[in-house]
Amino acid sequence: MTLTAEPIARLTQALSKLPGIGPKSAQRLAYHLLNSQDAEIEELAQALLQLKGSLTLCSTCFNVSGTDPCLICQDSRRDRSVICVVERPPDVPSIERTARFNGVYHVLHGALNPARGIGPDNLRIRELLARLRDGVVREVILATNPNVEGEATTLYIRQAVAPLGIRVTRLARGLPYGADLEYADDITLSQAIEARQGF
Amino acid sequence: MAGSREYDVEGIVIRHAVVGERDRIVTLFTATEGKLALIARGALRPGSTLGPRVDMLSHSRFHCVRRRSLDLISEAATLNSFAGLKSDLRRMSFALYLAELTDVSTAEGSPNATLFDLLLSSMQRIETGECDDRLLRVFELQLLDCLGFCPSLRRCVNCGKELRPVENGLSAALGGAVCPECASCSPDVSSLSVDALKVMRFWLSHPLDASCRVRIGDELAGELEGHTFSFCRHILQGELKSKEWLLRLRSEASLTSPSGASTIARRVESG
Repeated sequence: MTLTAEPIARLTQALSKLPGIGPKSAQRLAYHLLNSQDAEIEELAQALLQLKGSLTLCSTCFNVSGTDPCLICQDSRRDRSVICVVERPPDVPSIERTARFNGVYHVLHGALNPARGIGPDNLRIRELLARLRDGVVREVILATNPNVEGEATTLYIRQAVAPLGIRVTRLARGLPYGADLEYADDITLSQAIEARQGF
Repeated sequence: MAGSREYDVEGIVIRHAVVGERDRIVTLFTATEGKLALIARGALRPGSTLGPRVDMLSHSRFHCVRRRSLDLISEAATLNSFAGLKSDLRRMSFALYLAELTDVSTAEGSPNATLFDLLLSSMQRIETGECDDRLLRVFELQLLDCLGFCPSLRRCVNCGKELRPVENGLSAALGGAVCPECASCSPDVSSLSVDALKVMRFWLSHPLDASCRVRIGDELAGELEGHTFSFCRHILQGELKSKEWLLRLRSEASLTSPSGASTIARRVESG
């Protein structure tokens, strides 16, 4: 005998498949939705249904977009000679929020992870190299995550791009704003010292 | 460790996975507890003090709190971040291979201090010393020894006769060398040269540094790779994903030849 009504149990099970949502949180969300206004539920259902259908990958930068090419790739005011390479689509708005970058992007859709069998062929590295052959690009900024997988990706792309004679840079490493020097790790601190700047 | 709610453990991160928004499940290999899975809350948060210390291949001391499910890392202090290793693709790839091999060949709750020392000293050597395939072969063979799967290389594993200095055979299924007379006793017997037998014996009886100083030619290196890996594959009953990566790096000659970079570009673009 099940103690929970079947639709609630079904929704709970579906929600619990989402990242960061455990069975308890999923159940709480299911009951929250049950008590929500019909219009809100309708809006959520429509948004979910349209999510896959109305989105596509930009054929230039491979960011998730409602149009192809995406709005950034379409924008004639963007500097096409600088490409910022990121791991995942959510990294693009993070950099856009800084309002300090006016180039274009390339989304790899992951990072090299040998232990999980994720190699260069599983990422959009081939497409990146094809973009670099048009003679327009003069700098590639590697904005991968500062961890082993991100570092492996950076090192691999750097070697692949080297023969093309294009400048390859990567985001600066150092202490995050608001951090405490006492608790900084060796790698971050040594990189912060090495990359110190006059001011 | 028993009785106390909190404990300290020293370990190397051999696997990690993201859970939730900002947490990581970290698998350590430790000297005292063997393989140990812990949760690092907030490790993905920018500025987290735990984040860099629970990154892959980091060697740290962890202060943990026992819980009903996974124990929680409350503090960590870096012992060796292996920064030199993480800034070189070849060295990093070697270390990732050792980490995966250690991970898949051990079970949680089985302490193995000798294997921990082997992993740590191998990573130290990869970071600072000469980095070539010999180290991987020595590690594979000594890991088998640490786990109790050491190939028998003195007597024929089929008839028990002492091996003569001639071309013998080696069988992972039988667990060691076979004499020429017994070479047909198992379908997986491969040819074992006199030099390969000597080198494998030397590697099993000498520490890592001395073992890695043994000079071997390309042909012998290829034979030894086949032997040690056939044993690992037999014990693990499967392939290692990072082995494929190492083979790819090697085939691209990406890090050893000056033209390696262009090789990568051509290879990646051609798919």
